[in-house]
Amino acid sequence: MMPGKYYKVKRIADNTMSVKLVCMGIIPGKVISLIRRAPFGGAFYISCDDKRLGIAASELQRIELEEVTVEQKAAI
Amino acid sequence: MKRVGLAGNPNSGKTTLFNSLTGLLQKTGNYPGVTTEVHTAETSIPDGQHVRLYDLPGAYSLYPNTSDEFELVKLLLSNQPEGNLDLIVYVADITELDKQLLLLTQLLDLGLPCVMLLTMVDKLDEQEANAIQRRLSEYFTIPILLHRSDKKSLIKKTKEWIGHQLSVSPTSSKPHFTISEDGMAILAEVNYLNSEDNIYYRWLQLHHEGKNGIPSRINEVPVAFTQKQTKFQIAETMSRYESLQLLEQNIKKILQKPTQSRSDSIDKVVTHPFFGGVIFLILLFFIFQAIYAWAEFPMNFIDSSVGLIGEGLRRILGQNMFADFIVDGLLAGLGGIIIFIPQIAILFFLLGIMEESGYMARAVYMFDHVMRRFGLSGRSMVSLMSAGACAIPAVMSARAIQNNKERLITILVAPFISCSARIPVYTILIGLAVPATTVLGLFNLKGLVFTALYVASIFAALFFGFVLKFFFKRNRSSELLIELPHYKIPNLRNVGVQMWNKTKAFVVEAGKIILLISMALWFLGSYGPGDRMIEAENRTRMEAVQNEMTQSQIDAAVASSRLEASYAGAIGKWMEPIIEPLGYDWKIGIALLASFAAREVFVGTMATIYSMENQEDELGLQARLAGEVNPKTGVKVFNFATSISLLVFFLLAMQCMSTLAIVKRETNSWKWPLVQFVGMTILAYTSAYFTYQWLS
Repeated sequence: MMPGKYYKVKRIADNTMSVKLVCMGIIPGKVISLIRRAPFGGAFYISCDDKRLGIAASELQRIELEEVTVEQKAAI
Repeated sequence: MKRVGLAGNPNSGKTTLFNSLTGLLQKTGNYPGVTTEVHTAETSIPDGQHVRLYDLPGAYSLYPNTSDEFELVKLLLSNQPEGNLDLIVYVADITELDKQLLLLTQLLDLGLPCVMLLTMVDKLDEQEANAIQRRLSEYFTIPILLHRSDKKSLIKKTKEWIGHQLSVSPTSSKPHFTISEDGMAILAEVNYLNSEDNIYYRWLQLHHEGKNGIPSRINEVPVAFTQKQTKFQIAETMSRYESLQLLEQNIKKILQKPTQSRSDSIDKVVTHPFFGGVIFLILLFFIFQAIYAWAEFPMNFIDSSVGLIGEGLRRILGQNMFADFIVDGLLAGLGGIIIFIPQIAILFFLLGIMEESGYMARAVYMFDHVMRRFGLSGRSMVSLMSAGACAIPAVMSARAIQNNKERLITILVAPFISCSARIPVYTILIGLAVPATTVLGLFNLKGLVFTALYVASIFAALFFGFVLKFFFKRNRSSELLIELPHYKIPNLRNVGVQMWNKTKAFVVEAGKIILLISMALWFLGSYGPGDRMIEAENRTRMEAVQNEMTQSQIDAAVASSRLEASYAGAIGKWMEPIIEPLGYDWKIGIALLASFAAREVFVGTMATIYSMENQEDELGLQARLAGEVNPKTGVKVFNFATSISLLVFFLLAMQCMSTLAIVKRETNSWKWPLVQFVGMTILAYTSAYFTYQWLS
């Protein structure tokens, strides 16, 4: 996962955190943009719709993501 | 009296509204096991009715994953008065309605009497706001108020509206979620111990049964449910989300959504992997400076005012036991409480600004990962930095840490950080033990030792954070997922109200305990068994006459011999065999006992024991201590080994009743302050023991 790229959410794992992901609008089909990463291998700064979120790397790894290009993102 | 609760997402403007509805009349509910403060206040509404308002904990959904959000579920499902409300005002920010409505659908499905209040309305034009209101009321069929701003006249209108909503019977709304067939099959099997017939209430009870202090109302949770519980929760949240989609899209069309561009460009710098860190460190340093240096002036003012009042009272009351009690016991104890107010107020003012502006969420995003290795959270950084000035505001500021485990570890390790009260003790002891040589032609050895003590204290805090991490069980998934809200100009009223509430909580709740302990310590130092103190005083006076001492010399000698003959002196002597292996004598024992009130008292007590005429004369005391010889062994008392051993003791020991009192208040039990006191004392004792044995 690289900052500066866009990813489409394919599936989210079955854990209690997922409820919060859904509440924040991160659901299958949505595109998230990885903006930057915190120092020392820390959390990711992502945006999804109009929300900006900080999310731990381990948590982001539990979301099945698929990289999309800017054009594909615009189409979605 | 009717009860009205304000509910909503975090960042919905709920607390701002609560503050403008109630002002400073708030009380803080501190219920067993409820870590989040539930603020409540009575307020009168224009038709003359009195209502009790509750600022309910903010949450995104009723399936929360932070302990903070869980409090709402707990209040709704338990029998607390907050759960049993006559009206819920659901507060939402009209400019960010996206994802704020999910919780509302859950509250409505619980059959709770909800109305909606939209904040930030003045950011939109009239037409937009009205169109959104129409859409929402079509969808939810509940009354909706556009709360335009916090101007007094409008606040009155809002109160009127709340009063009106209380008088009309709530409209029932359609269900927003249907429990799946297999879910219903499970529900049919379950026996409920109470007669609640709302199906969604039962469903929620099944999900949270017996967890996190929610009362048990079910005989047995079916295994079939436990296996699929998370799936059920996700499916429900998705279904609610999807049914709101169309509404949210329609709202978006009305709203010419302002882009996040301003917040985004601020974040380019503020959350930059390198510059963001630098900015945070500068801010931490600024906070530290503020409570360390800025608080000094008001603290000195309080200190000298208390001194002046004491002198005044003495003049009125004369020299007697009652005056001693009032001045040295009661007034000194009160002074010991209010002296902390400047630091607490300044810290919470600055923290309030960081929290309100949206910066704190960024700090958490930046440092959570690093701090987590030490069992702490991103927010712990701020608490630990404040602990460099004083552990009391540090412990209080840990409230902002949402995860219980991380909050508790922060509270437990914060007192390790060397606070400003240790400085006078360090100064004296370093003066005794460390020669003023220059190292590497540049550094003063005394200064280096001083720095080493600070660094050691930080290591101690982080090390024990790391160790404690393994003692507490991980609560659910506590990985970071945090909303980074738009930056906004801090609402000074909110900042002020929080500052006021925190200071009040300290003075009223921790103050009681501090006052009690300081009175007890005063008693131990002022009274002795039988007539020993009077005998000691008379003996000293006779000796003084023979030795032709000056009046101030006599006073100092009398004070010293009285202290020796007091209960405190007796305890110090009784302690001697225990502290001898650390290189201490009974005089140090008395000072250690006294320094439990506050570490800096150590210096003053030593001055009294060694009958110093001028208590403020640190250099004189240092010289006096340096010459002190143990009558039994003929060896200098304050040799290198003893001084270093004392330094180690002060570095690690929990000698601050005020901190213990605030920990009791913040954790709502005596367990943690006791663990802290016993644990840190044992640690300090053994470390000082090995230091002394090694060096001597």
